[in-house]
Amino acid sequence: MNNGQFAFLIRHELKLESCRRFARSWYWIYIASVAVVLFVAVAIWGEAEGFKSEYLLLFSFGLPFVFCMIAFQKLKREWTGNTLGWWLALPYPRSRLLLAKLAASFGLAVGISVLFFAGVAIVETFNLLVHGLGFGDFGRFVKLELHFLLILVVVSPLMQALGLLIAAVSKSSLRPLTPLLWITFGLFGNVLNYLNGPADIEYGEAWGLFGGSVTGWIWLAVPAVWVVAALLFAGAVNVCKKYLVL
Amino acid sequence: MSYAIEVEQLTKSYENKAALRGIGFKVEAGSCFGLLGPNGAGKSTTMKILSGLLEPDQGKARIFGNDLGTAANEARKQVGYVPQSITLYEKLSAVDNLVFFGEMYGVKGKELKRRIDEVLEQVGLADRAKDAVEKFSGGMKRRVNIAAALLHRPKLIIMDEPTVGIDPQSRNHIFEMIRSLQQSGVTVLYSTHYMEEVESMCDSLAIVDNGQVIAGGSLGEVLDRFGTQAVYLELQDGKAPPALAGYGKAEAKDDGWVLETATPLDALADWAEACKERSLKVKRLEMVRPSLEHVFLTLTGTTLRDN
Repeated sequence: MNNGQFAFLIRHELKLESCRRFARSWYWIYIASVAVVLFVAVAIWGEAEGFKSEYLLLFSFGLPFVFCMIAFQKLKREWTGNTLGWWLALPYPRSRLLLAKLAASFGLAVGISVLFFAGVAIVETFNLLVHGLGFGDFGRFVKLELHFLLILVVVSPLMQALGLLIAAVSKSSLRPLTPLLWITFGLFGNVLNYLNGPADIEYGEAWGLFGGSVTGWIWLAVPAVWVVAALLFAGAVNVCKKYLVL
Repeated sequence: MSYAIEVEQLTKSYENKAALRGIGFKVEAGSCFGLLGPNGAGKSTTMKILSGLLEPDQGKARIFGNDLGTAANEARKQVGYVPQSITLYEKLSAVDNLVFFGEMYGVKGKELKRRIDEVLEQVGLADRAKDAVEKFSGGMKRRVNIAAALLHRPKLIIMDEPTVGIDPQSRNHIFEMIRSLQQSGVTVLYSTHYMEEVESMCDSLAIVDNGQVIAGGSLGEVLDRFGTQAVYLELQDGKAPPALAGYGKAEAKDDGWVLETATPLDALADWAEACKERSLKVKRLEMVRPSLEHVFLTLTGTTLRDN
């Protein structure tokens, strides 16, 4: 497969996803409603009343679960949409087909993360403006966000490889392992908590590992996370090669 | 002789249940090959392995000399697969579906447009090209699905029961298309529940049961080897036929009687003589051509439409 065709596979994955998402107008109604509630809340209980926009960053702890489900749905779609026949018959190795799904999921994960943090930055800007707090701390806040974003981007392949593995196993002769994988999903999904845990979580100046600088041991953990992600991905490829029940 | 498909000793199990037990056959390039068998015989599993959907546990399969184990992608490029279930994006038009499938196989731009026009013409849907697939009948969807499998101009097309549950018009289109594909040198591997389709279209066939080929060869060879010769006699007023010494017992069939024998010409003459002696009025007396349906029943103990 040349790079052009691989890029097309990824584009195809993204295109189908975006078509579906944007077609659901109720998505936008929810997003708009949440935004309105948020801005009203910030205006009422903003910085002056002790509200910190950092609180909103805690929602990003749930994003690894979302990332996993994105990849899971991407593969499961082939089983439920009856498209597995042509998809598996495409003249590309299973590793490439799954890699395209992983890459598209990763792209979506980065997109979602960027949108999330941009949204929170807008809320913070609104908060500072409404309450006349000045922009002295805005740089620090953005830096904090970037640390969250970095960690999320780093761990997202782990969750996405797990999502692909769960979807593959659910359609295979190894299906009895599915509950164990969902338990793993629950455990791995809390990866931000685990990474945050050993650091100083004293509230205020430091928000655990995201308190201003990413500590060294985190960078040691990153390769380990990626190795596990690679193993999970290899597992998904192997299941799709040898154990699918069609 | 060049072969489009060579299958040797393929085995495949699902959760300790053997689906294929050393199946093997060869398909000549440019021919139409029928794969027949009761449900669960291993036809679809074989087709899925040949299309690259499944990997066998053991054995070898080659598509135009490309081993599916070592040159799977090369092999898959030669194959257009039409699965049993419809595989289309319902909200998209026929053209948009084909654009999508074509691009996935690396066909682009003007060439893709040209091929789309060509395949839509082939399947008789050129006038419905821009309609959403969800508005199509089952047969029309099937034809779009076949068109999608033809876009990258495969040398081998694998069709898994393509005429199940579709209207006669679509069925005829599919037959015409298969004949035209064959004329242009494309090899067709075809599985069906309809014996007459195999008899009218396939050059050779394999009957599969319990994951093995139990009979194979050209249609004539299979009928000669496994078909039973017989003579049919129907008398006026539905009378019973005279018994013939040295032959088996005649079985009632339709309004007459069928006598299975290895020497149908002799039996025909003897029955005619016996009727004449007894002054029985003969309505019909003829040799019965061995049928694939009968061969299938004899070999598998079931009829295709029963199972």
